[in-house]
Amino acid sequence: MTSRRRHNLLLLAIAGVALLASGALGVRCRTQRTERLRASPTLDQAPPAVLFTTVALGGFRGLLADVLWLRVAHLQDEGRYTEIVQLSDWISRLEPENAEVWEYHAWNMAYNVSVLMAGEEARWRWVRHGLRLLRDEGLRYNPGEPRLYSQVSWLFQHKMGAFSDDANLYYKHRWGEEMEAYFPDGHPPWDNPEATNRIRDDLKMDPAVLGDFERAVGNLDWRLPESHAAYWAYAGLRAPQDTGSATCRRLLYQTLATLFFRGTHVPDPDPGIDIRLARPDLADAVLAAFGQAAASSTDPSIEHAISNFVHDAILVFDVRGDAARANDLLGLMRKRYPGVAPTVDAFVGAEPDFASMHAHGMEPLTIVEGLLRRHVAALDADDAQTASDTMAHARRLWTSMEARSTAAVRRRYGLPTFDRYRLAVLEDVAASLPEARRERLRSAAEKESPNAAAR
Amino acid sequence: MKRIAAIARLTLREAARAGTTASLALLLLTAIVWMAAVIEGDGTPAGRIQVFLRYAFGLTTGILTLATLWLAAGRIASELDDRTLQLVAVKPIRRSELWLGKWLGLMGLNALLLAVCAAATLACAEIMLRRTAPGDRAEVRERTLVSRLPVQPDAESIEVQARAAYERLVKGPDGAEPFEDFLPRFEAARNTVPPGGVRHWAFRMPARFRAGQPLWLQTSFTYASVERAPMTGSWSLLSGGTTSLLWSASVSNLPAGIVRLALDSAGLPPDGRLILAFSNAPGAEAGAIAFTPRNTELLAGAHPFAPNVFRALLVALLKLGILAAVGLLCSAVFSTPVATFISTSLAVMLAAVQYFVFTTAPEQDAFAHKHNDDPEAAWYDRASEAVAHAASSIVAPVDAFDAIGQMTDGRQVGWPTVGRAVMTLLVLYTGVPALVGILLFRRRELAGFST
Amino acid sequence: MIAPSQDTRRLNVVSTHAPLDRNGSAPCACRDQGETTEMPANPATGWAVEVDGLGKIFTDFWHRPKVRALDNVTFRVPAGGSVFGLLGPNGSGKSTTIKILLGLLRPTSGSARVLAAPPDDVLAKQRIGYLPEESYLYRYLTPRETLSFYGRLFSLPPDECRRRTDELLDMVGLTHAADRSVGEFSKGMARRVGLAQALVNNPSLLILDEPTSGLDPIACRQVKDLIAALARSGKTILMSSHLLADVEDVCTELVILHNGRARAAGLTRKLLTQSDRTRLTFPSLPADTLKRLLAAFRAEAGADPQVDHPSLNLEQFFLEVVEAASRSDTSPTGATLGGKPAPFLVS
Repeated sequence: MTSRRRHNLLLLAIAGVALLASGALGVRCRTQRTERLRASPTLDQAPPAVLFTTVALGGFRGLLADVLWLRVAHLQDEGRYTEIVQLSDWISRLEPENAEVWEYHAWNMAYNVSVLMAGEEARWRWVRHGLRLLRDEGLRYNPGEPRLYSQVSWLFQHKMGAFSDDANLYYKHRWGEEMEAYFPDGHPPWDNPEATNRIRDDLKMDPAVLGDFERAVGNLDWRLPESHAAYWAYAGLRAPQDTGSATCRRLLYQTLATLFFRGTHVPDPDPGIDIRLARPDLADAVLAAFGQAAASSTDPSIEHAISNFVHDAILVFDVRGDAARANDLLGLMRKRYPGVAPTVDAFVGAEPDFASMHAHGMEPLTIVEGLLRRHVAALDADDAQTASDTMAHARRLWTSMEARSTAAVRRRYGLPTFDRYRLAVLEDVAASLPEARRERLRSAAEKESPNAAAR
Repeated sequence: MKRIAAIARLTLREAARAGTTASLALLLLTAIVWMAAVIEGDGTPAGRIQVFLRYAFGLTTGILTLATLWLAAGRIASELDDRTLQLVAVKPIRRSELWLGKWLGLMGLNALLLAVCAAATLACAEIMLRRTAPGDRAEVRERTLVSRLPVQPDAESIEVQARAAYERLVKGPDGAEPFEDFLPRFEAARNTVPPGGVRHWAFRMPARFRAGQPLWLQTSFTYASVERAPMTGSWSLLSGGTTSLLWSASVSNLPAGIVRLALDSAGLPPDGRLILAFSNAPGAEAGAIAFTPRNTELLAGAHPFAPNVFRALLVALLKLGILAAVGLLCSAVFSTPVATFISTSLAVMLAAVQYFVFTTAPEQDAFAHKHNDDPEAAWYDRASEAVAHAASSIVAPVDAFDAIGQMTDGRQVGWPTVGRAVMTLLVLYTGVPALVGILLFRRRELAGFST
Repeated sequence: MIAPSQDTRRLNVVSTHAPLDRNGSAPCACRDQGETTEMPANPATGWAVEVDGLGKIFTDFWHRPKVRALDNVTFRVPAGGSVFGLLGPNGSGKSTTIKILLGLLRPTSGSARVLAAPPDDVLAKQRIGYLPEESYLYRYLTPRETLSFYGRLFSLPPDECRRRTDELLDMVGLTHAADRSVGEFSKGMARRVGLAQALVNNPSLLILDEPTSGLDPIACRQVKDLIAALARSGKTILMSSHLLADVEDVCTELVILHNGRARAAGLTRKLLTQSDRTRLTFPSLPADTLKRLLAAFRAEAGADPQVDHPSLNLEQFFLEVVEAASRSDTSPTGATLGGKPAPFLVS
């Protein structure tokens, strides 16, 4: 056999092997492709531009997305943020069915880039970019992906609703302003179909889900980011593909618990002040959420969370003078956990204060609120002694809370003055009273103000 | 020179008659207009225009990069294939003149297309500006459509100071921490300003910067206190020689991140030496802040945007010249498809190595360094790392000339930069492949058996 | 009728090398396989081309020998007014030889000099014109642009270049198509452009590779006439061809290549003359006179002569017919060569 013939035979053999291998790999690719496409049917509804890139680029989409992703990281290191939004948008469109892509870039913009901006307005813009990317685009292509719902919920709960960001009050304030247009006085406009449609179109909230949520939980103030956090966690549990997203369940009970402590917003002309009062009526909803989470998971942290919440709720109801509710919750505690005190008094101890509360942050203010409520009730009942005792107690607790924090921390939390806070509580209590009693309480409160003392 | 010019003119004429010029121009203009329609930037008018400019110019140079490689790779090889080059080579023209003429022709084509695209891009930007609310136009002009000269502070020889401190404090018989880990900590400490503390930067303003011209400070910082107290204090400008106070302004509650401040340069001393100082507010109300190392600079002047675009595109053109030279080198040696494949692959691989490994993940360099010291690292890891380092050492100096990025960031691409680009990109990076290409072309036989 | 006028159709070449000997042959600097020929003294005007022991082996990409195209070829082309033919079948090495002379190929062995300089000498190329076998022209250029481009490569001043362009286009009969792309031309028209570009620099040495290939008989004749005219004006022409009749018509000297080797060389006339035979040509005679002549011849020579009527060659006949037809047909079509060389070529 000549060398040329041998050479040709060798090439033929290589070609044959390559053909067989590609055939085998091709079968595997086809199977994977079918599975993947089956898992993401929403591309059918994708806009032409996304469909075009998906089809035209084929397997190179992933590579291009990676290239752009690396560029985003590079831009961030260099401090060039203007392009990041655009790139994040394009990356997400290259791999629209990849939830992680949406999640990462939204988080990157809302968390990493926003804190590097100068000025609250600029930071708010970046938080909005992240929210828009996730809620308006990511969920559109992945309506069955619970992790995206939980990420949206987290964004509301943590970025806007919590206090880690210096500009959180600005976010709360701006969000409240925007939501006023959709939820007049904080309530869904159920009697206005057009307004309801705008909620669906602009905020991507399903009115049916919203209605179910309110029926299950109760009326919430939809000008608060925490309410939206709860909605998105709830919606994530109803997503087509979800059969028990633990994160969504956790976020639901966490956000509802937060709303229990801080679910009423008292407007203040000063945007640097954020006055919140409790929503004790949400206790059942919180417990129901806890129950669902505990039923679907053996995670011991859920039991700890339940135990902590019920403990704090007992304190709150007790300081507000709602003995019945406090007793109910104590009964619940005794059923679940051995060794719990037999009575509320024994449970609460000598006097309720922050030290025994498991909640932290601004939640302990509910104790001060409870005391002030009893103070207002005492004023209304002309019980001067109780009024004085509760006021003194409240003031003492407030002072100790102030002493444990710095001015910067109080500024970040939007903490008002004690006087402003007590007036807010008074107005809240007095709102349900007849006009005459309201005025009497106001003038009594006026006498208690530091200005009056000075005069 | 006449013969080189004749070849260059022929190359341009061919591009025009073959429809190459028109096709490329159409493709580029379509891409620019499409870009203007889809770009949203970060939602602000200035951001939108800035991102559009960057991507439009980037896409233009990207398309021209590929086009240049393909055109150059086919330039000589195709003429050898169809033997038209034989009729030229028998004329009194040196091979070097032939090669240079082709290169010049390609450069002429690139220059023409760059000019057309620049005009289209600036026109689109102007239209976008006109559609912006009048109130936002000032921000756009100030932030984007401007050319400011970045002035870096005088070198502070941080490493020297760190070494001295290290010898004195840290290094001991126990061999505490390595210097490579100590250095960034030292640098961070040098840039941290406690309450009541002061941080200085010395600047030497360029001669052409005059007192009274616009001057901006750009810096960035993070919180260095548990309370995360924002920036509260005062910024001052002092004369470098006499340290007399020229200007001062207070700031309060600036959140961490990028800080841009307008400074007053009216008191600029004749020698141009300035000291910029930040004094952190004293007391419990302020917190320590940490400036990002090497991120503090002055942006001087407010020069017209169009000349800056011109200079940036000059640098871009020089980069395209490298590709033309590489393509022609391959074309002088190989057939058209092989030359195209080799030149394109080479360019893509080098760019990819630079982009993936060294541009986007600088910390990977540390990883790679450690990885190389790892005795367990496989031989192919070490080998590929060595190759990547070698590739980067070639590409990095070219990559460092990011004139388009500078221009779209509103920073001046000065004539000194263009001069450096000429020396590096033209003389070195184009000259070497040109020399090699010409040498190989001279050695090549232009006819084959029965051709 | 073979008339002495036939001689007028042959170039009356005044050879400036060593005078012809009695047989009419000139010493040709050529070495072929079976003979040894002494190398002559240099002609007064020098050699236009000197090829010594030229060998060429083509290799593949890995430098393995593939084809031996030339093997120890030696010949000389005198400068000044000669037409030298490079003859041989396809694949004999003619084009390879030309390409080595033009610097497009490098010899594997031996040497070549053109106009007393190495083949790749740029200054020498200033005086060389080359017409390749195929017209390797830029298809997107017009004839005017083509000539202008090549003229610039010769560093011709623009005015001079323009003048020559016009004259050459007139000479090759393409003035009417001067501004059409060469890509639209027929093969013959493209060939004319090729010829024009070969002459744009008024070369001293003109190298033509298969100059009449693909041309119709009229054009063929015109090219040959042009070659003769150029030679008369003192230019040296080196032409390769496998069309024997064309070479015989115009070449004063030739070398015959086969399988890369020179097989025969010398003056054309000498090579073709059968000196051992004599031909008499005379007007037709009455039959009995002819009979007596033949008898006397038979008695004297002791052999029967071959008697027939001489004939024209086909080209001659064809041209006479066409010329007669042209005289009666007042509307000519098609492009033709002008017939006369451009003035600058013969001035």
